Amino acid sequence: MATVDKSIDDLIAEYVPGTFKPHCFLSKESDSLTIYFKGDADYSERLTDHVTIYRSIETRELVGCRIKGYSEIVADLPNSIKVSHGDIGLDMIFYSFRSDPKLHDTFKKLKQEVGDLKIQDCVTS
Amino acid sequence: MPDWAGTFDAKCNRNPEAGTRKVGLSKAKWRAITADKQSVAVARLKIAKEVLADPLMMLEGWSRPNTDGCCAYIGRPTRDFRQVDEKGGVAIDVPSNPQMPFFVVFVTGDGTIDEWTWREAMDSDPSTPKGVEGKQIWPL
Repeated sequence: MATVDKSIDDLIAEYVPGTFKPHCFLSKESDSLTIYFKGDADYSERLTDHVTIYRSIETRELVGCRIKGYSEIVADLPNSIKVSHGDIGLDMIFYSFRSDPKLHDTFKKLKQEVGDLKIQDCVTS
Repeated sequence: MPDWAGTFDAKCNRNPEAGTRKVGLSKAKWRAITADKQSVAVARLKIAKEVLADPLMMLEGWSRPNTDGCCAYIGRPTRDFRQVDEKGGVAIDVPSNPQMPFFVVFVTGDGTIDEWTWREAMDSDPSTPKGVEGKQIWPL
């Protein structure tokens, strides 16, 4: 495909602001899944090789996360989950980290926040 | 060639001393952040532009498998952006938070910008961002 050589300033100028919506992006290039459920200005904190979380700069509240090595995680999910959930809920991705005590509380919170969002709801690169 | 919505001039990872290269934001990523009205992420692309062109430090490799050629551009910008209200809307220019001094732009091997984010400094080395690994290629 052809590259559009538009400068980033021109691109930003086209942006029309509006009300934030929960965000889910699946990147094939970096094999990662990025989720934001709040639009606060954030910073990131790397928890493990596979998990980075995003926190509000002002409140330190959890506002999103990034899961790296996504395809391997999906491949490792039990078949029963893949079959019964035809389309995989984001909470099932978090299931993979259930045994890591360092991540337990974070993923409990993330699970609540993502609700019924499914992989199929994500924009994919 | 990657399918980019827009491009940036970045310090070249192959020849940081002398060269620049084009890196870009994928159309899919742009579509996702604009559709979901991630105003702060959009506005912070202005900071990403500055860091890519004139980084304080560049790391290659990301310390994960299959990330050779991937690069992290690190800077210490003095400004940031915030939403005007909690529902979103226009992001305004504000001073950066001194507790999160580093702005990191992660670029994949094909030059696609993958992530742009603020990081805290390492407790043991305040001149380095926390949780960003790889081989230092700039400055040497």
